Amino acid sequence: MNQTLSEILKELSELDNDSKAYYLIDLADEFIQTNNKKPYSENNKVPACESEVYLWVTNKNNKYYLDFSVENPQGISAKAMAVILQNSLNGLTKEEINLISDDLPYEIFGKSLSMGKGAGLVSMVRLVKYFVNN
Amino acid sequence: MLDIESRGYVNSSVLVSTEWVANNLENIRLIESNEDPLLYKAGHIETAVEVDWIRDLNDPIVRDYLGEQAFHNLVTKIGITPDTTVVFYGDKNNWWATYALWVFELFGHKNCKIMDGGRLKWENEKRPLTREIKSFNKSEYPIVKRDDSSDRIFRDGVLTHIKQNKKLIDVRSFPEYTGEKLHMEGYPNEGALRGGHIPGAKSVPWASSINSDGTFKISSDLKEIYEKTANLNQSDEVVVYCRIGERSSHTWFVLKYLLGYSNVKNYDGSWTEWGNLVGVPVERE
Repeated sequence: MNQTLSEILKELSELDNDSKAYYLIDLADEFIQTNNKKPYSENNKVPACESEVYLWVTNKNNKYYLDFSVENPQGISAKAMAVILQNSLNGLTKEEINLISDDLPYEIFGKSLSMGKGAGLVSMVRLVKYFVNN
Repeated sequence: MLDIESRGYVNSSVLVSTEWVANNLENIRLIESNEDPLLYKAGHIETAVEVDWIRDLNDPIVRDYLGEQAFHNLVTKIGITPDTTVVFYGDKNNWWATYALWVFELFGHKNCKIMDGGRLKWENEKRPLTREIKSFNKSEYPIVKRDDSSDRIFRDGVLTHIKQNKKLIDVRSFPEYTGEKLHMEGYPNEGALRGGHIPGAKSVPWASSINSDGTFKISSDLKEIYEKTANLNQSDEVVVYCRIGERSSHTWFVLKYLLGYSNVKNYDGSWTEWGNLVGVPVERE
């Protein structure tokens, strides 16, 4: 786990549920939609994600950079997750990204994460790993 | 889309439009109920309060809904009196809004309504949202005993229901109904040990009743689905179920209010109970 992600998880672990929610909403507010042109390829679509998230991964000298689109205006959790993944994984190597747990969304969102949201957010992490490994 | 009053519903007054809500904010109590716990805090309709399906509506220990004291505490905290018109709305095409309405009705609260199209329609119409959370003066509300007899059914009741060849509607996805899958697409398995459906149940996925914008279909379309295809009749005793009772509360609302069925019960034990019960009959197809 890289330093930024450790810091985010530590900070979240010290917050109560309400403060955690506002922290995540603030992150979602920082989300920047991709400039990639539509229509997006289905290959870039995160499976089982209700927020209609698309992901692109760019390799620059064996370091990886993430770009997201969240098409559902209600995709607040997906936007927060995208910002966390970008802030913590951009510039890392494949080996470093592979150390990230698939269950990262549960560490971030905790008990407030519903089943549907959980599955979609885990899919975001898995698709990042899939792209860097293939 | 036709006005709600022109769609042929038996009880059209239980459904209100986004425009009606916008024009009546001061006269009602708006309740937002979502699956996503961030949504309300990220922005909600002015004057809306949040009722969370886990935190506010479920008992924290026992698998059951809140008791009479907890309901009293909830409604008085958000300024509701027995005369308050309560309008529910939320994400996921009002899944959780109809679920919350159903729980409120177990406690006998009258004047419950659903905002047609839910939160997404409001947002798509570019109507305002706020992050300001209003608090309300504590209200007077008597302690009311929950009545599970009219709109809720338990497993023993379901067993009796199927022995009498009465009607059931399984509102889960078709692969869940056939037993091909133990959970809906994109959701984890919650531990049901058997796949399939309750014997005699017809498959009518909950989303059959809504349009692409989240509004409810007109009455004639609903009758086509539930009466011609699923062979229901207004005089039938009907049990609806899904996985934990949330999707089926949506269909309960459609049958009870929009189509005027007088005897519809939601089996909230649903497949997470039935799919694990020892010895109960299961059908697959």
